[in-house]
Amino acid sequence: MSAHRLLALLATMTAGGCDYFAPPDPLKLDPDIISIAMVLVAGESHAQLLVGHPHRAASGAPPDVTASLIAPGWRFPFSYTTDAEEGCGGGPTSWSFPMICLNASLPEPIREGVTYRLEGEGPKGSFTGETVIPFASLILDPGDTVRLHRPADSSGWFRIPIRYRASPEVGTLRPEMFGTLRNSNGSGSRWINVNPRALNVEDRTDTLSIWAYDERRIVKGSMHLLGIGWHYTSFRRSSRTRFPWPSFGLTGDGVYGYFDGSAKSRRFQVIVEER
Amino acid sequence: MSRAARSGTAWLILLAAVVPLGLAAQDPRQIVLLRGRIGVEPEPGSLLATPSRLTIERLPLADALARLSERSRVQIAFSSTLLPTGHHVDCDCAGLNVAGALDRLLRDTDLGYVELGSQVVVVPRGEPEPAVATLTGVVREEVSLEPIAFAEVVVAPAGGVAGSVAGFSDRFGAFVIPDPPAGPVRIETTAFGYADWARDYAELPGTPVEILLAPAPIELDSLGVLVGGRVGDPISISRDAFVVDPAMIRTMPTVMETDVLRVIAISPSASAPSDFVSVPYIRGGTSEGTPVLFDGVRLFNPFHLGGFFSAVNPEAVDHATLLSSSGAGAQHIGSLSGAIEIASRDGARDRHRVAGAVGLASSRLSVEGPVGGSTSYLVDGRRTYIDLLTRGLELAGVIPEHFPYSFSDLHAKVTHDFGDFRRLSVTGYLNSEGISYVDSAATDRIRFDWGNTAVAAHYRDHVGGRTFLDVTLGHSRFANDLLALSGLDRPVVDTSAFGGGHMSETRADIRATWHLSRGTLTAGGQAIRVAGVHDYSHSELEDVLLPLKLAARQWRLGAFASLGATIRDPWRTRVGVRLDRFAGVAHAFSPFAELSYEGRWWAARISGARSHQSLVSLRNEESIAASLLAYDLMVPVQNGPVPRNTEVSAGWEGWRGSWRLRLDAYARRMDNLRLPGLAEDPLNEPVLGDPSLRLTGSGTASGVEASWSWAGGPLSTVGSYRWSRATRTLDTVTYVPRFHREHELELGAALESGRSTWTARLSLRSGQPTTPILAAVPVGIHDSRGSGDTQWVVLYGEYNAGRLPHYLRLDLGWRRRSPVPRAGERFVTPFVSVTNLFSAPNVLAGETRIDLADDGPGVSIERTYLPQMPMLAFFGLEFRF
Repeated sequence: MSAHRLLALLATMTAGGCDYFAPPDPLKLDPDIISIAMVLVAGESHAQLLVGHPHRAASGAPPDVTASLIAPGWRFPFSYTTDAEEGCGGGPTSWSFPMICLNASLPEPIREGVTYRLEGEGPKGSFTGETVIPFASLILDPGDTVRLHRPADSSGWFRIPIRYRASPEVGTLRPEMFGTLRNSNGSGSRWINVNPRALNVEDRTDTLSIWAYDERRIVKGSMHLLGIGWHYTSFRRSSRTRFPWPSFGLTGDGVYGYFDGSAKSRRFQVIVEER
Repeated sequence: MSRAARSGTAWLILLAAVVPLGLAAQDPRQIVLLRGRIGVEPEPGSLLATPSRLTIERLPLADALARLSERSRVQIAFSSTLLPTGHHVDCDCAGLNVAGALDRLLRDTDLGYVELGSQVVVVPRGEPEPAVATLTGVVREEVSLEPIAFAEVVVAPAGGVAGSVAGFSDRFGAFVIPDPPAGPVRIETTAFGYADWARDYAELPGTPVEILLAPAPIELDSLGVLVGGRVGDPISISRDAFVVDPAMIRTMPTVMETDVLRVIAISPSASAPSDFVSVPYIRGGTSEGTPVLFDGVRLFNPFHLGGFFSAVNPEAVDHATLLSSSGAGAQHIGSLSGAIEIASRDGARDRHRVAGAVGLASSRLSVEGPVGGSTSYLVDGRRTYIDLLTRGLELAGVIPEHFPYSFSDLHAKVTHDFGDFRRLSVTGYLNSEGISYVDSAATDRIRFDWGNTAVAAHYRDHVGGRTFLDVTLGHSRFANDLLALSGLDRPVVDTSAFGGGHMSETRADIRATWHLSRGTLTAGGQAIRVAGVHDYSHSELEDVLLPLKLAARQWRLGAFASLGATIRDPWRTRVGVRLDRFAGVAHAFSPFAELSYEGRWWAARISGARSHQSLVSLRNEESIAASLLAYDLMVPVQNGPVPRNTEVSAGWEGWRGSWRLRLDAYARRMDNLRLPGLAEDPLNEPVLGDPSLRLTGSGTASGVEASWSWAGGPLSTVGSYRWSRATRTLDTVTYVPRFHREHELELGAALESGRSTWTARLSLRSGQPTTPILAAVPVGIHDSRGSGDTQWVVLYGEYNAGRLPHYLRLDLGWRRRSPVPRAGERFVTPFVSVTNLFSAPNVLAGETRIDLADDGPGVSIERTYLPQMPMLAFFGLEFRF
């Protein structure tokens, strides 16, 4: 056998072997998977489901998904789609990949302690979800109203000691404040930054801080604790972890994300008194 | 003196002779049982070899014996009552020894003699015991007188092959063939690389035969010899092993350096974890379970350049044996995953010779020759000039910074041949490596030195005609020393890493091998002292080495025995047991058993074995760095249980014409392994860590292996294919180890064309495991305000559940062996090789990077791979004078 024939034989074997041995590249991300972000809020009669193709370019086709929300006694399809850029239930809408927001007006408000299920059909098949809406967390202290004195130091903060008890279904406990602000041009209302951004659900006490010297001064507000379940919490914490993951509330081939519930605690009023 | 008086005197002499020997005088039956012989060939220095100085005429036998005793000054005991009456003898025996004189005196009687203690006793001649015929001998190269291992010796009745028996020479050239045919015989010997040898004998030689083989008049740089000769075929020499010798090493394309370990990886049982690491992993085990022994002593980290090639000079290698099982063939080693035994060759005994090579990375030289008639020496060394080469490239502006790395190795062996099978060899070995680096800004400095020294002595003797006795003493020590400093330009210098340590093994082995009529019995014992002392209590090089401080020493006392026997032709069996005491930790019982059938053109066998070892590795094989660095630090376990291997296998092999095919299936389980926790990110996992902090886990491996060889005309090939599975289990998690490949196909070919030899090696392998990324998904910061803040969550699949792209590599080589004009038997051999001819994009590991844009929404998902070896060319020149 000549050297040329030998090389030809080797090339043939090589080509055949390549086809046999070549598996799909595990580093190539599947463009057909869908991401789902959905957190139901107790007391609301509206649900939003954010669905995206996170592995596709922004110019790619949007996901083709149908879904229904199921509660004891009723089943309601997500009936219409809105532009995700307008926001979608707190889901991540700011990234440039194809996504849609599915909406549903529910026959009754979301209830704490109730199990809700999600059923749908996506590009890679059907998927399901299940979550239990957590009970609202308790604010033990302060009471209905807190009066704050603006600190003399212009670099100061309002401090609000708080005692609380998170319900066991809650994984993320977020203090939130909707406040009224005023300056020489008038007044207005918006959400105020509160630190820390999330409380430790295992602890019972903490101190909330609000920046006292915004360009517009806070004069009053209403504060509560938003408790979100463990599916959402676990998903956030699962980056760069390998399978098996904790439950994210969703099951289905090529479906990644979370399906969870949330509930707000009672509110207390915050009144700022100038010195 | 009357006859009666002489008789009484004789009895007294006889009793006086016997009593001191411990034969009880009150038990005359002991005396009566004594039987003598005539025609004895006395050992030099014995009483029977003493000159007789006897010249007599017509003397009564008793007087003649008394005169002989007087003249030779050797006490001769006899009973006058045993002597025939009236028997007179003549003897002109002045030139004969005592045995010869007694042969004459007792020739016409029924008496014989026997040497007992300080006397020679004349007793009734016994019927000669039926001789258990055995052919023994040594096979040597006819010019250099080097022993030739694995030569096949066949003894056949003259004029036919029926009833012929065969045996193989061992690594010292010795062979024993029990129960050869009687009468005229023909002895034939074949060995790889040598011309066949045959000789007819009128009767079976009673003394050891020295068979001198002439080198074959064919170029050694050819697999054609390997395959055509059959005996040297790596899969036909030993059913337990894959045997590689220098000629086969040279028939593989060179990867920078001619390297025995890289060639061994063509075995289906072996798998190199990467292009950068030459040490093969055996049947799903890791390197910690496969010791590399050099002339019987373990070498620690016998590599250079991070493991790129082995630290054993190919000039010194006689052959390298890969034992893929820890059963029958590797029982004396007592390891978890077989072993690699490298035997150095003896120096030439005919004349002084010089050989060597000049290559891109290093040069090597060997000098050998005789010292007197029975002693030879071999000294060989190697030194790199990577540091000098890269320094030159740096000065020329070709590379930005030179690579301040150097290595050298030195080996010496002295062999003394006492005759027959007795021999003594002493081997000394030294390898050293180092990095001495100061960065261009003179702010960082690294000094890292390491190396292995070893010495081994082997003595072989024989007891009787059928028993070999081998004694090996050895000591090996690997030491390393690291200092890494940074901030040399600052007032306070920062020590990045500081430490060092050593591993050592001191051993004594004794082994006896009895060649019985129906089999071979081997028994031996060994005492091994191992130590591992590693102190890297300060290390900021966390991607390589975690801070650790370990010191452990341990005695291992082992005893083993095995029996190989024919149950009923062609059924054979081998059974054995090994007992170990790992001092302070555990005792271990390691049996093996094998049943085989050996037909005319095929053979099959099944076997099972168990083995233990106490050394555990600091390596984390799940780290990517483990594929770049072969170095290992080891310590004996301080708490039981010791790692254990249990395996079963079944095999078949056949040979027809130029074909030989071997198939093996195996399943093994490894218990009590010290496994590190699973890495979330193998790219950033340190390769070395404290094994005492690890969990005890287990592993399994199973597979089917095929290997074959074929030769036709100028073309010859060897090849192998393996399918296998391997797992590790830690707690409840079972995963595929990162080094494992499910499929591996290796093909080697050599084509002779005149003085040139073209070689090729094709490797086709499935990809190694990696943990796949299933999804990269953004998650919003859910709050009532709809802040829109997000983070990315990257979800991995099951650990190592994905497979990297397949591996394909084709290496080509060319060599041309040319005589130096007018220089006699002097040759130069230029060689050129190209690795990864098509620069196939083989990968070592992969990573998915998710880059988030800082100035607005946008995500970039990018795959990056760590490449294996690209297309590289190597060349050099070998010479042999």
